[in-house]
Amino acid sequence: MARRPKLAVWKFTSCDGCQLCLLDLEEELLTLAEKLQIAYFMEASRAVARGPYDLSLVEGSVSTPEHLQQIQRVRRASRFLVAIGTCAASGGIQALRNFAAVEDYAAQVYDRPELLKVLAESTPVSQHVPVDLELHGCPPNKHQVLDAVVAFLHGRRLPQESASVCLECKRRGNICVLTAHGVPCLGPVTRAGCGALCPTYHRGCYGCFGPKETPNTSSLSRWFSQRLGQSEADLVRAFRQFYANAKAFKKESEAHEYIKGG
Amino acid sequence: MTGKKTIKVDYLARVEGEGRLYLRIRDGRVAESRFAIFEPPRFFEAFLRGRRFTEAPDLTARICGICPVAYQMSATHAMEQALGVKVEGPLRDLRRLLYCGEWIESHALHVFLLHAPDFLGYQDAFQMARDHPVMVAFPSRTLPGTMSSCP
Repeated sequence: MARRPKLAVWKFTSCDGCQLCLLDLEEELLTLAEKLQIAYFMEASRAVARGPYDLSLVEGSVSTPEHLQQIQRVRRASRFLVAIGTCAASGGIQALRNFAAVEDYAAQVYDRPELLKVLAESTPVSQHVPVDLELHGCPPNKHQVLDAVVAFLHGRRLPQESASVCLECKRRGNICVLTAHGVPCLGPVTRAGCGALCPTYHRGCYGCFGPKETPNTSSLSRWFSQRLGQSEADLVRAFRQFYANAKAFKKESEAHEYIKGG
Repeated sequence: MTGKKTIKVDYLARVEGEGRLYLRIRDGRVAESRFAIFEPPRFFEAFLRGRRFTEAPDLTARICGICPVAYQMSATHAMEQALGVKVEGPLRDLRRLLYCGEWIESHALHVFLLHAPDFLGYQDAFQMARDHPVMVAFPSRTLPGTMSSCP
Protein backbone atom coordinates (compact mmCIF):
# COMPACT_ATOMS: atom_id res chain seq x y z
CA MET A 1 0.00 0.00 0.00
CA ALA A 2 1.29 3.44 -0.93
CA ARG A 3 2.32 5.73 1.90
CA ARG A 4 -0.53 7.91 3.00
CA PRO A 5 0.20 11.67 2.82
CA LYS A 6 0.78 13.22 6.22
CA LEU A 7 -1.64 15.89 7.42
CA ALA A 8 -0.72 18.49 10.04
CA VAL A 9 -3.06 21.08 11.56
CA TRP A 10 -1.45 24.05 13.32
CA LYS A 11 -2.92 26.69 15.58
CA PHE A 12 -1.66 30.24 15.92
CA THR A 13 -3.81 33.09 17.31
CA SER A 14 -7.38 31.95 16.81
CA CYS A 15 -10.52 30.49 18.38
CA ASP A 16 -10.18 26.85 17.15
CA GLY A 17 -13.32 27.27 15.06
CA CYS A 18 -11.68 26.64 11.69
CA GLN A 19 -10.03 23.35 12.69
CA LEU A 20 -13.37 22.42 14.21
CA CYS A 21 -14.73 22.43 10.65
CA LEU A 22 -12.68 19.25 10.17
CA LEU A 23 -14.11 17.54 13.26
CA ASP A 24 -17.57 18.63 12.11
CA LEU A 25 -17.14 16.51 8.99
CA GLU A 26 -18.15 13.41 10.99
CA GLU A 27 -18.23 10.40 8.64
CA GLU A 28 -16.21 12.20 5.98
CA LEU A 29 -13.63 12.75 8.69
CA LEU A 30 -13.18 8.99 9.02
CA THR A 31 -12.72 8.68 5.26
CA LEU A 32 -10.11 11.45 5.43
CA ALA A 33 -8.33 9.61 8.24
CA GLU A 34 -8.07 6.61 5.91
CA LYS A 35 -6.69 8.64 3.01
CA LEU A 36 -4.31 10.74 5.11
CA GLN A 37 -2.17 10.04 8.10
CA ILE A 38 -3.28 12.49 10.79
CA ALA A 39 0.26 13.30 11.84
CA TYR A 40 -0.20 16.44 13.93
CA PHE A 41 -3.62 17.71 14.95
CA MET A 42 -3.69 18.68 18.62
CA GLU A 43 -7.37 19.57 18.73
CA ALA A 44 -8.17 16.02 17.66
CA SER A 45 -5.30 13.83 18.79
CA ARG A 46 -2.43 13.48 21.23
CA ALA A 47 -0.59 11.24 18.75
CA VAL A 48 2.22 13.19 17.14
CA ALA A 49 4.21 11.97 14.13
CA ARG A 50 7.38 13.74 13.07
CA GLY A 51 7.48 15.87 9.93
CA PRO A 52 7.93 16.65 7.14
CA TYR A 53 4.23 16.92 6.41
CA ASP A 54 2.65 16.72 2.98
CA LEU A 55 -0.29 18.98 3.79
CA SER A 56 -0.37 21.59 6.53
CA LEU A 57 -3.50 23.48 7.46
CA VAL A 58 -2.68 26.60 9.42
CA GLU A 59 -5.31 28.28 11.57
CA GLY A 60 -4.76 31.63 13.26
CA SER A 61 -2.79 34.80 12.81
CA VAL A 62 0.81 35.57 13.62
CA SER A 63 0.70 37.74 16.74
CA THR A 64 3.54 36.86 19.14
CA PRO A 65 7.34 36.90 18.85
CA GLU A 66 7.33 33.07 19.19
CA HIS A 67 5.02 32.80 16.22
CA LEU A 68 7.64 34.42 13.98
CA GLN A 69 9.94 31.41 14.36
CA GLN A 70 7.12 28.91 14.63
CA ILE A 71 5.61 29.84 11.25
CA GLN A 72 9.02 29.44 9.60
CA ARG A 73 9.36 25.96 11.13
CA VAL A 74 5.87 25.01 9.95
CA ARG A 75 6.67 26.23 6.42
CA ARG A 76 9.95 24.31 6.31
CA ALA A 77 8.22 21.14 7.49
CA SER A 78 5.35 21.42 4.99
CA ARG A 79 5.13 20.54 1.33
CA PHE A 80 1.75 22.24 0.74
CA LEU A 81 0.58 24.91 3.16
CA VAL A 82 -3.03 26.10 3.36
CA ALA A 83 -4.06 29.08 5.50
CA ILE A 84 -7.55 28.31 6.77
CA GLY A 85 -9.92 31.05 7.89
CA THR A 86 -9.93 34.78 8.40
CA CYS A 87 -7.19 34.90 11.06
CA ALA A 88 -4.65 32.95 8.98
CA ALA A 89 -5.66 34.62 5.72
CA SER A 90 -5.97 38.21 6.93
CA GLY A 91 -5.08 38.65 10.61
CA GLY A 92 -8.56 38.10 12.02
CA ILE A 93 -10.70 40.13 14.38
CA GLN A 94 -7.66 40.51 16.66
CA ALA A 95 -6.11 42.62 13.86
CA LEU A 96 -8.29 45.46 15.13
CA ARG A 97 -5.31 46.16 17.35
CA ASN A 98 -3.38 47.13 14.21
CA PHE A 99 -5.39 50.36 14.31
CA ALA A 100 -4.47 51.09 17.94
CA ALA A 101 -1.39 50.93 20.15
CA VAL A 102 -1.05 47.38 21.42
CA GLU A 103 0.32 48.68 24.76
CA ASP A 104 -2.92 50.60 25.30
CA TYR A 105 -4.95 47.48 24.50
CA ALA A 106 -2.86 45.35 26.86
CA ALA A 107 -3.24 47.88 29.68
CA GLN A 108 -7.01 47.98 29.22
CA VAL A 109 -7.34 44.21 29.58
CA TYR A 110 -4.57 42.91 31.84
CA ASP A 111 -3.45 43.79 35.35
CA ARG A 112 0.18 43.18 34.51
CA PRO A 113 0.51 43.88 30.79
CA GLU A 114 4.30 43.78 31.05
CA LEU A 115 4.04 39.97 31.29
CA LEU A 116 2.60 39.73 27.79
CA LYS A 117 4.82 39.00 24.85
CA VAL A 118 2.92 40.17 21.81
CA LEU A 119 3.64 41.80 18.48
CA ALA A 120 2.30 45.26 17.69
CA GLU A 121 0.19 43.80 14.87
CA SER A 122 -1.77 40.64 14.14
CA THR A 123 -0.88 39.56 10.61
CA PRO A 124 -1.76 36.86 8.07
CA VAL A 125 0.48 33.85 7.48
CA SER A 126 1.24 35.07 3.93
CA GLN A 127 3.01 38.10 5.36
CA HIS A 128 5.68 35.80 6.78
CA VAL A 129 5.99 32.74 4.54
CA PRO A 130 4.77 31.68 1.08
CA VAL A 131 1.27 30.20 1.28
CA ASP A 132 0.01 27.73 -1.32
CA LEU A 133 -3.69 28.34 -0.78
CA GLU A 134 -5.90 30.58 1.35
CA LEU A 135 -9.38 29.64 2.51
CA HIS A 136 -11.38 32.63 3.65
CA GLY A 137 -14.23 32.95 6.10
CA CYS A 138 -14.87 33.26 9.82
CA PRO A 139 -15.20 30.31 9.83
CA PRO A 140 -14.87 28.96 6.30
CA ASN A 141 -17.62 26.72 5.07
CA LYS A 142 -16.63 23.18 6.13
CA HIS A 143 -17.19 21.92 2.59
CA GLN A 144 -14.55 24.38 1.38
CA VAL A 145 -12.08 22.88 3.83
CA LEU A 146 -13.00 19.39 2.66
CA ASP A 147 -12.72 20.49 -1.00
CA ALA A 148 -9.24 21.84 -0.33
CA VAL A 149 -8.09 18.56 1.19
CA VAL A 150 -9.67 16.50 -1.60
CA ALA A 151 -8.12 18.80 -4.24
CA PHE A 152 -4.73 18.25 -2.60
CA LEU A 153 -5.21 14.47 -2.59
CA HIS A 154 -5.99 14.47 -6.31
CA GLY A 155 -3.38 17.05 -7.27
CA ARG A 156 -6.07 19.34 -8.60
CA ARG A 157 -6.19 23.13 -8.39
CA LEU A 158 -8.94 24.59 -6.27
CA PRO A 159 -10.77 27.40 -8.06
CA GLN A 160 -10.78 30.57 -5.96
CA GLU A 161 -14.08 32.27 -5.31
CA SER A 162 -14.13 35.67 -7.02
CA ALA A 163 -17.83 36.54 -6.98
CA SER A 164 -19.61 38.53 -4.28
CA VAL A 165 -22.20 37.49 -1.72
CA CYS A 166 -24.78 39.24 -3.99
CA LEU A 167 -24.45 36.37 -6.44
CA GLU A 168 -25.31 33.89 -3.70
CA CYS A 169 -28.36 35.94 -2.73
CA LYS A 170 -29.50 35.90 -6.37
CA ARG A 171 -29.02 32.14 -6.55
CA ARG A 172 -31.12 31.67 -3.42
CA GLY A 173 -33.76 34.08 -4.63
CA ASN A 174 -33.29 36.39 -1.64
CA ILE A 175 -34.90 39.82 -1.63
CA CYS A 176 -32.05 42.34 -1.37
CA VAL A 177 -31.86 43.60 2.24
CA LEU A 178 -29.96 46.70 1.12
CA THR A 179 -32.16 47.98 -1.70
CA ALA A 180 -35.52 46.69 -0.46
CA HIS A 181 -35.16 47.17 3.31
CA GLY A 182 -32.42 49.79 3.70
CA VAL A 183 -30.23 47.45 5.78
CA PRO A 184 -26.50 48.23 5.46
CA CYS A 185 -25.02 45.14 3.79
CA LEU A 186 -21.41 44.48 2.79
CA GLY A 187 -22.57 41.74 0.40
CA PRO A 188 -21.68 43.69 -2.79
CA VAL A 189 -17.99 43.91 -1.77
CA THR A 190 -17.66 40.60 0.10
CA ARG A 191 -16.35 37.30 -1.28
CA ALA A 192 -18.96 34.59 -1.81
CA GLY A 193 -18.62 31.29 0.04
CA CYS A 194 -21.00 31.43 3.00
CA GLY A 195 -24.12 30.86 0.90
CA ALA A 196 -25.36 34.36 1.83
CA LEU A 197 -26.04 33.17 5.37
CA CYS A 198 -26.87 36.54 6.97
CA PRO A 199 -28.94 38.14 4.16
CA THR A 200 -30.96 34.92 3.94
CA TYR A 201 -32.08 35.69 7.50
CA HIS A 202 -32.68 39.38 6.66
CA ARG A 203 -29.45 40.63 8.17
CA GLY A 204 -26.83 42.70 6.43
CA CYS A 205 -23.58 40.94 5.54
CA TYR A 206 -20.71 42.05 7.78
CA GLY A 207 -17.96 40.88 5.48
CA CYS A 208 -16.56 37.88 7.37
CA PHE A 209 -15.38 36.23 4.11
CA GLY A 210 -13.30 39.27 3.21
CA PRO A 211 -13.19 41.54 0.18
CA LYS A 212 -14.14 40.03 -3.18
CA GLU A 213 -11.97 40.50 -6.23
CA THR A 214 -11.91 44.22 -7.22
CA PRO A 215 -14.51 45.42 -4.68
CA ASN A 216 -16.02 48.85 -5.25
CA THR A 217 -15.96 49.88 -1.61
CA SER A 218 -16.18 53.64 -2.17
CA SER A 219 -19.39 53.26 -4.18
CA LEU A 220 -20.92 51.15 -1.40
CA SER A 221 -19.85 53.75 1.17
CA ARG A 222 -21.65 56.43 -0.86
CA TRP A 223 -24.77 54.27 -0.84
CA PHE A 224 -24.53 53.83 2.93
CA SER A 225 -24.05 57.53 3.59
CA GLN A 226 -26.33 59.11 0.96
CA ARG A 227 -29.22 56.67 0.96
CA LEU A 228 -29.06 55.19 4.45
CA GLY A 229 -27.78 58.25 6.27
CA GLN A 230 -24.76 56.51 7.77
CA SER A 231 -22.11 58.70 9.40
CA GLU A 232 -18.39 58.62 8.68
CA ALA A 233 -17.88 56.80 11.99
CA ASP A 234 -20.44 54.17 10.89
CA LEU A 235 -18.47 53.63 7.67
CA VAL A 236 -15.21 53.21 9.56
CA ARG A 237 -16.79 50.51 11.74
CA ALA A 238 -18.51 48.83 8.78
CA PHE A 239 -15.19 48.16 7.05
CA ARG A 240 -13.27 47.63 10.27
CA GLN A 241 -14.58 44.24 11.35
CA PHE A 242 -13.38 40.71 10.62
CA TYR A 243 -11.36 41.72 7.56
CA ALA A 244 -10.22 45.08 8.93
CA ASN A 245 -6.65 44.20 7.94
CA ALA A 246 -7.45 43.27 4.31
CA LYS A 247 -6.07 45.90 1.95
CA ALA A 248 -9.36 47.00 0.33
CA PHE A 249 -11.31 47.23 3.60
CA LYS A 250 -8.43 48.86 5.44
CA LYS A 251 -8.13 51.54 2.79
CA GLU A 252 -11.87 52.23 2.87
CA SER A 253 -12.06 52.46 6.67
CA GLU A 254 -9.07 54.79 6.79
CA ALA A 255 -10.55 57.02 4.08
CA HIS A 256 -13.51 57.78 6.34
CA GLU A 257 -11.45 58.07 9.47
CA TYR A 258 -9.29 60.88 8.12
CA ILE A 259 -11.83 62.83 6.08
CA LYS A 260 -13.28 64.42 9.20
CA GLY A 261 -10.09 66.38 9.77
CA GLY A 262 -9.48 64.18 12.83
CA MET B 1 2.78 4.06 46.59
CA THR B 2 6.31 5.32 46.97
CA GLY B 3 8.86 6.89 44.67
CA LYS B 4 8.93 9.83 42.34
CA LYS B 5 7.09 10.44 39.13
CA THR B 6 6.93 13.41 36.77
CA ILE B 7 4.15 14.05 34.31
CA LYS B 8 4.93 16.64 31.66
CA VAL B 9 2.52 17.55 28.88
CA ASP B 10 3.91 20.29 26.65
CA TYR B 11 0.74 20.80 24.66
CA LEU B 12 -2.61 19.67 25.96
CA ALA B 13 -4.50 17.85 23.23
CA ARG B 14 -8.20 17.77 22.44
CA VAL B 15 -9.18 21.04 24.11
CA GLU B 16 -9.97 24.51 22.81
CA GLY B 17 -6.98 26.70 23.49
CA GLU B 18 -3.36 26.06 24.32
CA GLY B 19 -1.88 24.92 27.60
CA ARG B 20 0.83 22.83 29.21
CA LEU B 21 0.89 20.82 32.43
CA TYR B 22 3.69 19.76 34.73
CA LEU B 23 3.16 17.50 37.75
CA ARG B 24 5.79 16.17 40.15
CA ILE B 25 4.51 13.31 42.24
CA ARG B 26 6.25 12.02 45.32
CA ASP B 27 5.03 9.03 47.34
CA GLY B 28 1.66 9.15 45.67
CA ARG B 29 1.12 12.83 46.41
CA VAL B 30 1.41 15.79 44.09
CA ALA B 31 4.45 17.71 45.30
CA GLU B 32 4.41 20.32 42.59
CA SER B 33 1.90 21.27 39.93
CA ARG B 34 2.28 23.87 37.23
CA PHE B 35 -0.30 24.72 34.62
CA ALA B 36 0.40 27.28 31.92
CA ILE B 37 -2.00 28.71 29.39
CA PHE B 38 -0.03 30.11 26.49
CA GLU B 39 -2.99 31.03 24.36
CA PRO B 40 -2.04 34.42 22.87
CA PRO B 41 -4.22 37.38 23.92
CA ARG B 42 -6.68 38.75 21.38
CA PHE B 43 -7.86 41.83 23.36
CA PHE B 44 -11.62 41.50 22.93
CA GLU B 45 -12.26 43.72 25.96
CA ALA B 46 -10.22 46.50 24.35
CA PHE B 47 -11.44 46.40 20.77
CA LEU B 48 -15.08 46.27 21.88
CA ARG B 49 -14.70 49.82 23.17
CA GLY B 50 -16.12 52.33 20.74
CA ARG B 51 -18.19 49.76 18.86
CA ARG B 52 -21.98 49.99 18.61
CA PHE B 53 -23.74 47.83 21.18
CA THR B 54 -25.40 45.88 18.38
CA GLU B 55 -21.99 44.70 17.15
CA ALA B 56 -20.94 43.05 20.42
CA PRO B 57 -22.66 39.66 19.92
CA ASP B 58 -21.05 39.01 16.51
CA LEU B 59 -17.63 40.06 17.75
CA THR B 60 -17.67 38.11 21.02
CA ALA B 61 -18.97 35.00 19.22
CA ARG B 62 -15.42 34.66 17.90
CA ILE B 63 -13.89 34.21 21.36
CA CYS B 64 -14.36 30.44 21.06
CA GLY B 65 -15.08 28.38 17.99
CA ILE B 66 -16.44 25.49 20.04
CA CYS B 67 -18.94 27.47 22.14
CA PRO B 68 -19.65 30.73 20.26
CA VAL B 69 -23.27 30.92 21.41
CA ALA B 70 -22.22 31.17 25.07
CA TYR B 71 -20.29 34.36 24.33
CA GLN B 72 -22.86 35.69 21.93
CA MET B 73 -25.59 35.22 24.52
CA SER B 74 -23.51 36.76 27.32
CA ALA B 75 -22.86 39.85 25.20
CA THR B 76 -26.56 40.08 24.39
CA HIS B 77 -27.48 39.85 28.08
CA ALA B 78 -24.87 42.46 28.98
CA MET B 79 -26.23 44.91 26.42
CA GLU B 80 -29.80 44.30 27.59
CA GLN B 81 -28.83 44.83 31.21
CA ALA B 82 -27.10 48.06 30.33
CA LEU B 83 -30.22 49.27 28.52
CA GLY B 84 -32.66 47.92 31.12
CA VAL B 85 -34.35 45.62 28.61
CA LYS B 86 -35.98 42.34 29.63
CA VAL B 87 -36.70 39.73 26.99
CA GLU B 88 -39.52 37.28 27.58
CA GLY B 89 -41.99 35.09 25.72
CA PRO B 90 -41.25 33.33 22.43
CA LEU B 91 -38.01 35.26 21.89
CA ARG B 92 -36.69 34.06 25.24
CA ASP B 93 -37.75 30.49 24.32
CA LEU B 94 -35.97 30.73 20.98
CA ARG B 95 -32.78 31.82 22.69
CA ARG B 96 -33.07 28.94 25.13
CA LEU B 97 -33.44 26.60 22.18
CA LEU B 98 -30.37 28.06 20.49
CA TYR B 99 -28.34 27.74 23.67
CA CYS B 100 -29.51 24.16 24.29
CA GLY B 101 -28.61 23.35 20.70
CA GLU B 102 -25.09 24.46 21.35
CA TRP B 103 -24.94 22.44 24.57
CA ILE B 104 -25.95 19.29 22.75
CA GLU B 105 -23.48 20.00 19.96
CA SER B 106 -20.61 20.86 22.29
CA HIS B 107 -21.31 17.96 24.66
CA ALA B 108 -21.51 15.47 21.80
CA LEU B 109 -18.21 16.80 20.46
CA HIS B 110 -16.55 16.50 23.87
CA VAL B 111 -17.99 13.13 24.79
CA PHE B 112 -17.34 11.33 21.53
CA LEU B 113 -14.44 13.05 19.83
CA LEU B 114 -12.46 14.69 22.63
CA HIS B 115 -12.88 12.72 25.90
CA ALA B 116 -14.00 9.18 25.05
CA PRO B 117 -10.61 8.26 23.51
CA ASP B 118 -8.96 8.95 26.90
CA PHE B 119 -11.38 6.80 28.86
CA LEU B 120 -11.11 3.94 26.38
CA GLY B 121 -7.33 4.06 25.98
CA TYR B 122 -6.96 5.58 22.52
CA GLN B 123 -4.92 8.58 21.41
CA ASP B 124 -7.76 9.99 19.36
CA ALA B 125 -11.17 9.39 17.81
CA PHE B 126 -9.57 8.08 14.60
CA GLN B 127 -7.97 5.16 16.46
CA MET B 128 -11.14 4.67 18.47
CA ALA B 129 -13.21 4.59 15.28
CA ARG B 130 -11.39 1.47 14.08
CA ASP B 131 -12.88 -0.50 16.98
CA HIS B 132 -15.99 1.58 17.60
CA PRO B 133 -16.93 3.32 14.34
CA VAL B 134 -20.42 4.09 15.57
CA MET B 135 -19.00 6.31 18.37
CA VAL B 136 -17.52 8.72 15.85
CA ALA B 137 -20.19 8.43 13.18
CA PHE B 138 -22.89 8.46 15.87
CA PRO B 139 -23.73 12.16 15.82
CA SER B 140 -24.61 12.22 12.14
CA ARG B 141 -26.68 9.04 12.35
CA THR B 142 -28.76 9.77 15.39
CA LEU B 143 -28.65 13.53 15.92
CA PRO B 144 -28.75 15.01 12.43
CA GLY B 145 -27.03 18.34 12.18
CA THR B 146 -26.20 18.80 15.83
CA MET B 147 -22.46 18.53 15.32
CA SER B 148 -22.33 21.14 12.60
CA SER B 149 -21.40 24.57 13.83
CA CYS B 150 -19.99 25.55 10.46
CA PRO B 151 -22.43 26.84 7.86
